[in-house]
Amino acid sequence: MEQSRTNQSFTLDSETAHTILDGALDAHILMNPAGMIVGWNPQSERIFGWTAEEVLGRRLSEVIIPPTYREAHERGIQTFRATGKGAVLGKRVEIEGWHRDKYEFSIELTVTSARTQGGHVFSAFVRDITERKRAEQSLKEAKERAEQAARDRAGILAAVDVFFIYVDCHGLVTEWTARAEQTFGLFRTIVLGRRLPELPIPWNWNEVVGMMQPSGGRKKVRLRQCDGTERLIGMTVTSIRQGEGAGYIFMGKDITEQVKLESEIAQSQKLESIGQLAAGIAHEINTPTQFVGDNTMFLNESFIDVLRVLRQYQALLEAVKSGTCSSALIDACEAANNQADLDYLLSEIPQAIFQSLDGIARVGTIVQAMKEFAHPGTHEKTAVNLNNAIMSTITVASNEWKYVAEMQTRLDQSLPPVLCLVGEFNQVVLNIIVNAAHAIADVVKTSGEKGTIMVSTGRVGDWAEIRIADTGGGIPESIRLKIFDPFFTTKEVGKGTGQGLAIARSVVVDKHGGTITVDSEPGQGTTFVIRLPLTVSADGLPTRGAS
Amino acid sequence: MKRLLFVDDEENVLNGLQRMLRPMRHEWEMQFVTSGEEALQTLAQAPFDVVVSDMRMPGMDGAALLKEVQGRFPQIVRIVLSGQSDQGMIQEGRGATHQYLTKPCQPNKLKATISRACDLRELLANDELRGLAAGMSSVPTLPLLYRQLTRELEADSPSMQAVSAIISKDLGMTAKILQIANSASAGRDDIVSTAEQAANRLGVETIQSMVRTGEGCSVLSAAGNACLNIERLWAESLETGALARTIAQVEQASPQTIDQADTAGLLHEIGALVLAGHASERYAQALQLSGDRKLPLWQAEQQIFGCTHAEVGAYLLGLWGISEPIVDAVAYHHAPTRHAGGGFSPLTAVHVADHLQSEFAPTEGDGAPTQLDEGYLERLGLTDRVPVWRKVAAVWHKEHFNE
Repeated sequence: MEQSRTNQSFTLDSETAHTILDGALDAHILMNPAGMIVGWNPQSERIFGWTAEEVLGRRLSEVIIPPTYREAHERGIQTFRATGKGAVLGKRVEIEGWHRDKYEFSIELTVTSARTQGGHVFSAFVRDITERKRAEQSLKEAKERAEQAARDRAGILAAVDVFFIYVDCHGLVTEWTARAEQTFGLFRTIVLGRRLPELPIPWNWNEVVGMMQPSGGRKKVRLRQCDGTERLIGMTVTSIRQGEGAGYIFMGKDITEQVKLESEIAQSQKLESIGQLAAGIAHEINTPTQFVGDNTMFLNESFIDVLRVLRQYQALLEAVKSGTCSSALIDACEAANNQADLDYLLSEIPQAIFQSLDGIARVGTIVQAMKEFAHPGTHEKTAVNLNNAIMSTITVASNEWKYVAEMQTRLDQSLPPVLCLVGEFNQVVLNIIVNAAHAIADVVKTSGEKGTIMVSTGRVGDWAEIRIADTGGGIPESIRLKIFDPFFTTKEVGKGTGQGLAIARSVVVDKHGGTITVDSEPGQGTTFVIRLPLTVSADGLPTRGAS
Repeated sequence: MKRLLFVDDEENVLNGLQRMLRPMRHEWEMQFVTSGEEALQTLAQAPFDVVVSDMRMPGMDGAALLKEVQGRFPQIVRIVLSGQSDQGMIQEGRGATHQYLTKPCQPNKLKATISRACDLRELLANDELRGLAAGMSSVPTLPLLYRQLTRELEADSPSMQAVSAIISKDLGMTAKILQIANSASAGRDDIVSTAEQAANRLGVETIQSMVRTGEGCSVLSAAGNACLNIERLWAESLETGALARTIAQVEQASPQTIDQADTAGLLHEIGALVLAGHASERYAQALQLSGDRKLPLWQAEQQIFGCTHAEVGAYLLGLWGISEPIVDAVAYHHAPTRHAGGGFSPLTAVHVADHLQSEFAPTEGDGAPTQLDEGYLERLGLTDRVPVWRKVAAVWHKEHFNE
């Protein structure tokens, strides 16, 4: 049966076979044993650009084989003739074809051979695979690009000073950058594929796990190292939806040095103002000390004179009592009076005493104010009478303003105590008063005229408001937004660190949840307005009720 | 009767001073005003000898006032009495200050300072030269040493030792640094006697700011340079200082006397810089006269100016608050017998050192060297010490000049 069917198919007449082959999707080419083209279907025309008329009877190798392969092709035919074996026969081969327009293109072909009356006939089905090749190439390139991108990303992650950790929706660590290795001292190879909380990181896990929320989180986290030192990590956790679950990106850096530097700057600003204050306070104490000393010296010497007069009077009294008073004695009294310049002493001594007491009181006031101002050692918020705090700050700073300004105060005595860090609050008020004095000094110069600094307090809703207004030259519009920036200063180099208002902002806003704003009219003056919340919750920030 | 003006914006301070200084009312006529402006008005109306001013005042401050006084009334002695406790003397615009006292100032110290300022007048009779000396904020330095000092101060970490070594070789800088250090130590008992002690007390930063502001550093005018060989003056001054120190050491004087003898020896000719720099023509005449007539230079100066570089220098140092033994040694180094003191003092050392120095290194074309004041040495009972001093001085000279 098989045989008969095969035979039947062989009986297809060449016309029919041609018709069939003409309908094939692939090119079909027949080559006779001499290497001539004897069959060329329409697809062949399409692929190679030659019509059947043009190629029939020509050598196949000349037509469709690229010049560089022609020799090999001819050798293959020779070999087949000699041995009956062909390297390409019966296989699916990808080679280069040659187009009529003289370019190479990729083709796929299968070759079979059949014996006919005239010897062997070779039949080839040929498919143009240019498109497929191109698609394969671009796929390959895309893959390479993706790999390059991955390498780039790893490079970037390694280069930025931020660590990067990725935890997938199963809680497994799938990314752990070199920075993370450095920061936490754990190698990537050990960490990858493990669950994050299993890792030996010496931080507060509750805190960190608490940050793994859909809303993410941002916190400073302490790393307690085994040598007892602490490092501070600033870290942001971002959640990423991943199918049903959520993955988390941890990004952050070791900010220990940065925080240390910031606190050093704040400290140096404090020291700077304390140094400046100390000189001012010394002046405020030295001056009364001078005249108290001079007056006391005077009293000391005057007392000797007065004593001499008194002795004379005593003698006179005794003489009167014993009835032996003589005119000589009276003359001696008068002489003693004159010699001592008693009238002068009687008018000056009370004044010297009064002024000395005043001087001592002044020293006492400033020493008291200094104690209140410095307020050492409180790192906790306490209930503070802001009016008292402001008065003591004004007193310790008096040498800074008194040569250029009159100080006026309008303090609301009904202002309730405010929970605050009083030392830092005083620092803020001091910075602003000193700035006000400088602003006025720039305007009045050495004219001997004085400006005004007005400090007022009051309650505005749930806020305590402190206003410090000066009659200085004002702040130009162009720099008004910059004045709270760290290191911004209009003062000459070496005069001020440019930290005063930046620290003021940080103290008022960050540490007290308050606001600090500035209102300035060039040529008229500047008013700083500080608001501190009157109702404060346990975490130190204003309660929701505060508007 | 000396006339004093006190300026302070704090009336209580003026009242206190007025009361405390009342016992001086028979010697001093005192006026008290509360501002710089008022002070200038008062000074314009009548002559004054001394102004004592506060520093920080509203309107015109003390620095501005004293600068004005220096320009308009140079002969007036200018003293600051300030509540500022920083080393204010070096700060800008305060070069016009002769002496800087800080509040609180002991009443006795204040009295003594003012008294001394008043008495200085007796040292120098010539009104014009007094004005000249009082108008000076600095004494010329040797440019070479000034350059050395600037270079050292610009180094990454200037060495205090190097800095004070340079300063102690220079007349102008030594005088200035002693003035500043004495002011800075007002109210303290320890006296600064040498440039080295002064530099150590002030610290490198203060010296840097002194050099930076240019206060206390100037160079001799061209006219001055024409008549004065400044290098030679420096060499002679250094040698006199070293010899005075050696002599004081041989006499087993106190360390302070030894230091003061050295410094006074270095500074004994400082008045020549004032005269050569600001009265060059007449100074040249004096030099000419001294050469022609074989007179000691100071005698020629006496003829031309009516006084000598000794008094001018001493007056300047006195104004600047340099300690009294140094001022006396400078003032009387030609004729110590006029000084009332008895016993070996820096004056003795400088007088002898000056004589020996000119004996060892006589200079061509000069007048006669200064003679030893036999009467003075006799009075002190030190005549027989002269051969000993000559011997140690010769040894020193030989060691240093290889002769």
